Amino acid sequence: MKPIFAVPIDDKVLIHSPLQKISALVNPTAALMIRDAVLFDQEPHEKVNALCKALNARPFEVPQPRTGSLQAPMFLGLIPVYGSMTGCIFTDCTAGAEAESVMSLETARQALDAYFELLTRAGQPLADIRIFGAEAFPALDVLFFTEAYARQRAEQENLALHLTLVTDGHLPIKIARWVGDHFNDVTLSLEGLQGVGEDETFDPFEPSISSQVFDNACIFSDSPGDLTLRVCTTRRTINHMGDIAAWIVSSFVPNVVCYQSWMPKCGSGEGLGAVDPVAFARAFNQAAYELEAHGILACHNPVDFHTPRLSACPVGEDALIISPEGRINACPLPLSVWQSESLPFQIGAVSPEGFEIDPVALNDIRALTVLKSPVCEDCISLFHCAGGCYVNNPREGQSGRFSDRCLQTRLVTISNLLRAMDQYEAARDWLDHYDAASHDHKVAKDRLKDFK
Amino acid sequence: MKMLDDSTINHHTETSTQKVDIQWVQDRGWVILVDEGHQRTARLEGDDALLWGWLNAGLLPDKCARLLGAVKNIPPDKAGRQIEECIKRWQEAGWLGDSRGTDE
Repeated sequence: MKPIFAVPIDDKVLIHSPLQKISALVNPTAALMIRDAVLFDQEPHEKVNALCKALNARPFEVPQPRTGSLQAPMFLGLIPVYGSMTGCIFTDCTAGAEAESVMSLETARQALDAYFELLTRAGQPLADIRIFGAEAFPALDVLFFTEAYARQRAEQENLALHLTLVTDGHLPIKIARWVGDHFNDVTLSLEGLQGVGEDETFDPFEPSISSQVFDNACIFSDSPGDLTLRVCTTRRTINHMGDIAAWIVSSFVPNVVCYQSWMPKCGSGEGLGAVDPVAFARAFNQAAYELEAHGILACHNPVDFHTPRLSACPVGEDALIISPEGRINACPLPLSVWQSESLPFQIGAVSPEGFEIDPVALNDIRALTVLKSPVCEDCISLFHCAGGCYVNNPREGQSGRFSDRCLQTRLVTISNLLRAMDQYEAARDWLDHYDAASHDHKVAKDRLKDFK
Repeated sequence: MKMLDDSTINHHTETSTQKVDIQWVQDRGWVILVDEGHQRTARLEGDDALLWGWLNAGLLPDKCARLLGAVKNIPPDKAGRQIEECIKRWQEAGWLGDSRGTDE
């Protein structure tokens, strides 16, 4: 059955075909006509003829899992050291004993050599290298070494080079300037914003992030590369999301602002608390509207409604993420985190001879697509959230029986689709009186075939 | 690759012995030094550009030697000599004072 979805939005229906990149807001009668014409071969009514024609004619671009030998890794990731100064799960915390280990320059060199050899052999034009962390002093060597060595290798092999640093921003200012001059992308977590009190007014002059992080955000903002800001949202800051968006717009020039919501795995300290999914979706819709008006893309991991996909993250995309000890993993989170969920994310190891890839492990990981997740089968976000984080979003359960995290993702997906159609107000009004308790969005089948 | 016009303009006022206020534009593969007082410029490429970036990021010459040795696969003492020569050349040309780096 064609993956076309239909979700009621007040007195309208959102029709969405992710693999054809077609969305429309129609009335329920039209939705039924579209269903019958597109899925059950009935003659379309003239009023929906154009849409039906498009839904029948445009090809479904189904993303395919990777197969065969490793040829085009999504990127090479280097984790010089696990753990961040902020202890944030999104900047690779919870490493425990793993945080002791720091990547040696020799391991970094072996990984880079093997990566460039792989790209050259496969005729790939671009080396995409991402460094996660490296704020701790011993790990800074890896940062400087990698930039220089990768640039040298890219020049030798005549490859384009794209360098990204994912950081919590706790870098000396001179090093931040150097990063701004040498990296194509910086992803910076604005840690500390969650420190705003629930009943306080957000003060844009004292935004509760450290002055070092603020100063470095300004440096990255003024640098020629792209800047993605990550903002953690908690129960305490949910009411400040719009103010925080306005503060970001007035303080920095990011390309993307990525909102993540606090989760129990982040720890129970500081009374932060999990976010109500509907409140988050409302606040996100408002913040995104504010940011998008300034040309800044707002995103909420794991939702990506621009490109249909089978995995929400590097897992399954042949990303080669090198741990400090030289293991090759599919996931940037520490081994202890995904092993505790019995997830087999180790692909191999780096050695002086190159990448030692376990082809069985590689193919097992590639096969972990959202198409194997029954709970996602009939969800409008199927190809947008693609099941979310493998570690933090369990995929067991029946089709259409959603967790709070799924509900949040679904609401964000739907509001994103509506805003993309210039229907911000429709999204706002729908979310404003959305009642999760009485609504059926936690038990829903979004397929057009099920629309009645 | 960014264009010169888009680049961050840096001011070099690092050391007490600095005689001139040098500005530079750091790109990913090269550096242009500008000495407005003396109406002159210089373009650094390759290892020189690399070292200029590291030194201005606050790395001490010893650290630079270790890193350069690793990047070029040469012994650190050889890399150290290359760095000493480079710093000396820049000092003699008036681009640098007589001590550099803080290794923050």
